[in-house]
Amino acid sequence: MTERPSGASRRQLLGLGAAAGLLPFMPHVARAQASGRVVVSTWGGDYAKLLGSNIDQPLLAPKNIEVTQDVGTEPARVAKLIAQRRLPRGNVDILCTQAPQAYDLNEAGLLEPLDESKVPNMRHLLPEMRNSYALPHIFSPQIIIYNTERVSAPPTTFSDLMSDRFKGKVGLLDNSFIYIVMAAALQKTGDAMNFDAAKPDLEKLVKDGNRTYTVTDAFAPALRSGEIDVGPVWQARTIFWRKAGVAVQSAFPKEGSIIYVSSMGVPKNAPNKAAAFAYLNAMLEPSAQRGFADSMGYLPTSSQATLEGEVAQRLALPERRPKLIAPDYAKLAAARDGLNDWWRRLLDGR
Amino acid sequence: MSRRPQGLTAGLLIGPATLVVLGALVAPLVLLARYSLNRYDRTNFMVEALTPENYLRFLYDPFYTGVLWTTLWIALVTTTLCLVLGFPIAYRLARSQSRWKSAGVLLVILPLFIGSTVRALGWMGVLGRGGLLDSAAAAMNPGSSVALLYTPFAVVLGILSINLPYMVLTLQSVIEGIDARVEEAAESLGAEPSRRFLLVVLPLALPGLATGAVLVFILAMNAYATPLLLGGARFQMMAPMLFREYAVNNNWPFAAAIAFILMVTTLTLTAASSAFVQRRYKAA
Repeated sequence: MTERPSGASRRQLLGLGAAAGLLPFMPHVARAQASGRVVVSTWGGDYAKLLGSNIDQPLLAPKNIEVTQDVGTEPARVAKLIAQRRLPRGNVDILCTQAPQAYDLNEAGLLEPLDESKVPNMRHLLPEMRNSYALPHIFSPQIIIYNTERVSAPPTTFSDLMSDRFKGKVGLLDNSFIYIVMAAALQKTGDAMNFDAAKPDLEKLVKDGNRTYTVTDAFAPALRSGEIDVGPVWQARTIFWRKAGVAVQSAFPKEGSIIYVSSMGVPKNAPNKAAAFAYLNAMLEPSAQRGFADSMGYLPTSSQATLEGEVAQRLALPERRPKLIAPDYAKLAAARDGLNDWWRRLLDGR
Repeated sequence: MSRRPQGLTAGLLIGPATLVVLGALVAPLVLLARYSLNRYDRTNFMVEALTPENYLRFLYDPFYTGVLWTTLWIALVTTTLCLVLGFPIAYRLARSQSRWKSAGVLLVILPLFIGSTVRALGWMGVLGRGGLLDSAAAAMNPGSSVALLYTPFAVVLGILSINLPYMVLTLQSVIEGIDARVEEAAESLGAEPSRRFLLVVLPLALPGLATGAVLVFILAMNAYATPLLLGGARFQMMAPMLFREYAVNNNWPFAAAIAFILMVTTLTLTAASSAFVQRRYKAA
């Protein structure tokens, strides 16, 4: 093979000239930076649909930003991102993950730093959730859900779940066990990240014959049938299941609520960063945030996105605003593998 | 007319299939084997290495070997039940002259049209709290309840219902291949039904039984949706554990090692049983 001469050949120059001639007919190339295609790596289902109807079509289509969704489970999408980390140009512009995962990716140096010059709406973010690598999109506080037909005195603190009146009637969600550990630690020590202090309580809960569910959707039928009466879940679930006709209500533990945050980051090798920043800015617009609150029961992360009317009532936090506690993601990351192992063995009981 | 050498023709015919198998099965397996020797790292995902630690972690930890044992006994129990329940159905279908025979075969095949996840969800409705059985028990004896969901029984029942059609269909074709006149001859010589079955039908059907058993055993060893949905979080089998390591913890090296351990266990048992049956068959 012969070496290619450096610099543009005559043929390339001709090609460039022809492309320049076509520019006026290609508006998405000719216009300023934030346009073209943006690839959003996201969960499927309702979330992806709502991204389309609240962000993509109303806010980005008018700016000539065409959104393509790359739908999959979070671990699979994260694996893909890690696998292509060495490529100068990846194929994802926006990555939707849970906040702990975003922290890990940022630690691995995969996420683009964000600030208000790139995403002006960042200044409206709720301070508890603000960071400079992945913007919180929606959040939901952990509450204790209870069946209103069978529980006359709602639980007021996590330790109520250990009391005899709920023995065998507590439901635990396997996929969010780490958040349950945090809730127990918070109640016991005032520090949600004091995992070891929470272990005895969790061990008691599991060994007392309380129920553990692998899939979130098995939780609602269990609450309805009386298999369980209470359990720590996200407030959004209460709202969602109430809509489906299950007689449940949220009790906010007096020690505070750990929050679940769903976030969006921009990979360092995103092909269209300008459009990605525009996307993040659009997702923080009040109209987009309200759409998610209305349909999924998650709370807005932007202080500008105030809720009104029936939605505001449904999602209302108690009169005395509960303490909302974002996990310390660094401590969580350090402890996660060990906690995973401990939890598996605890459930197994071998 | 020129004649092509026979070997070449055969080679050309099996060539494409061999290439597909090499490309789609052997190559990924080699890659998987390579992954299983890598090291997991939370931030960097998978670090190149040549270490047996993933295998050792599994083999030296009673928790993981316990999951393998659970999987093995569930697979053996369901295989045995499939044999015991499948044989009479297959025999009846194979020997049937009735015009309803094809309807019977269809009834066996129909459940295969529904995915295993959907069927597991169906069983959840039957076995769960407030489900069919529970409601029936409560109606007959107020205040009582049967909690069958999230038990090994539910898992065995679920896998059995999925695997039984495979067993019945395999056995049916084998039994149809056994000449009915052989049985009539045994009968005319005064053999009781039980002797007829034990000394004539069973030995002749043995290779088919082995094939069916191997088929349902492999399916049971690899069951995913059924143990996950019917066994619940506290019941662990290999396939859901493998999936969790791969897709939830993103620990590909360990997941690859689990996949190999599961595959080697299944293949060893399958090969051993085939060898055993073949020896018996030759002796018979």
